[in-house]
Amino acid sequence: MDKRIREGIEACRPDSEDLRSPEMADVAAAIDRDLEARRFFDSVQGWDATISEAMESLPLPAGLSERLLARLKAEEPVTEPVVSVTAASRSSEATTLVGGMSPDSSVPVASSDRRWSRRQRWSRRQWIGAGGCSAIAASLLIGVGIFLARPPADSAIENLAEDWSKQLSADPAAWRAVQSAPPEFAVPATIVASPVSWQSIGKMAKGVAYKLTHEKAGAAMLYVVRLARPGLPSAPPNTPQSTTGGQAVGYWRSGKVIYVLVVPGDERNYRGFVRTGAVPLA
Amino acid sequence: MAERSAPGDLAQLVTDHAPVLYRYAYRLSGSAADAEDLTQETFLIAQRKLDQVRDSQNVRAWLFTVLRNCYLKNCRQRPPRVLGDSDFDMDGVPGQVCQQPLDTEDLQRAINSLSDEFKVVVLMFYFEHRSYREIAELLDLPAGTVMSRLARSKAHLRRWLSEPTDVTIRLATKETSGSITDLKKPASVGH
Repeated sequence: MDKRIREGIEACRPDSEDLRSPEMADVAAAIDRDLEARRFFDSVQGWDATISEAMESLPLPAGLSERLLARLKAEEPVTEPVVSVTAASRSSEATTLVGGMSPDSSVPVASSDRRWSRRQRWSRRQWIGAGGCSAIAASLLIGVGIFLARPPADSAIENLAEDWSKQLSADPAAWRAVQSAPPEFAVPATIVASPVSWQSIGKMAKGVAYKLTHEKAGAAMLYVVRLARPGLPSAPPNTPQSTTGGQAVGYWRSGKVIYVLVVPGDERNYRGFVRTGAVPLA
Repeated sequence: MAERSAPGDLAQLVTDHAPVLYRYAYRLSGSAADAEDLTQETFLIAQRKLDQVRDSQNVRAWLFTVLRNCYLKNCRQRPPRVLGDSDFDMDGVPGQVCQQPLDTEDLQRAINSLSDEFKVVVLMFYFEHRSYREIAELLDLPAGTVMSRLARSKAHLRRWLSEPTDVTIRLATKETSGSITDLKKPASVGH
């Protein structure tokens, strides 16, 4: 089959009128006269419908909308002016958002373009002022960043672990072979179980989760996260800090990393995963 | 496609569009955490530009475009992995449509195996339901390039999905001087 015909068939969306467009006339004609083209068209249309459906059948993480709204509420809403651009002025996909967004052809433009147009109007005095403000803002941001690295005072580690657990359960395909785990988040020697796979806990959290398995104690989850959390013991506690909800949770700190071990069951199950002789609960 | 939200009603916007945006983001990024970050980034931009979200007929398209651009912007911070110009095995396209529902994890692995330039095109086709002409216009690419990428990436997906696990699929990459490398189709893990 001719490459042009094959690509034309591939470009037709399932259950669409694409084949009737004038530029697809040769493709439509080939499908009419050529049995091979007809079969290929039918096959591709069937596959496309199946894949389209599968694309959208994906479970959602629990509480997604609530989390999004909570984060949006924390942001100060700023209304920016509408900027109109023509198709000819688009330089690249990344800097210009296009797509016939509104009847008057006004489209959202990426901030880089807008910043540039403003920059051209700025005077030297404005630049000096902005530079000074930027330096102060940078200092403040560093301070705020250090502060924000700490978890909220009212947020217990168990709650964090629960959030991570929800994230991970929504993405079962993301578990990877343990050999590829980042060494800076390695499983500590105080854990006696074997890690079987790992997954990153988002790009913001800077940490990983491990699935652990133990011949006798069963399965557990270990989170290794870079997080400032003062007051934690420096080794796995013999007694987990929490034993509610059908799981035992123990956590400790080593350097800049905290470890959170979540074991289904009670204290006895928990102890099966940590090396004996660990320090008692602080 | 649900288009109930009125411009300016952020909560309704999230309620109406967060699920589909999250799914789109997941298909693009291949990670739940990154998908949620992308979805959040999209709504943060929407929040700042609520006055631009005027035409309720196109709210979802607007959000898709913002999300896609956020993804592409993040992509530029990673080393590119580009499927080469060498042909996919177009003759190996399976003729029979899969009779059973597709394994959504296997589908994701197949999508993940595509480079971003192929992935974006094929997801705009399957997820945004864009025509090749629209894709070409939005990505500022020649229509022929879009048709070629569509054909090759779709053939790759079909082949991946129709093969059993533990089958080696040959992929053409430019990762190492344009050589053709073998990628082993992974078996399901972690369950």
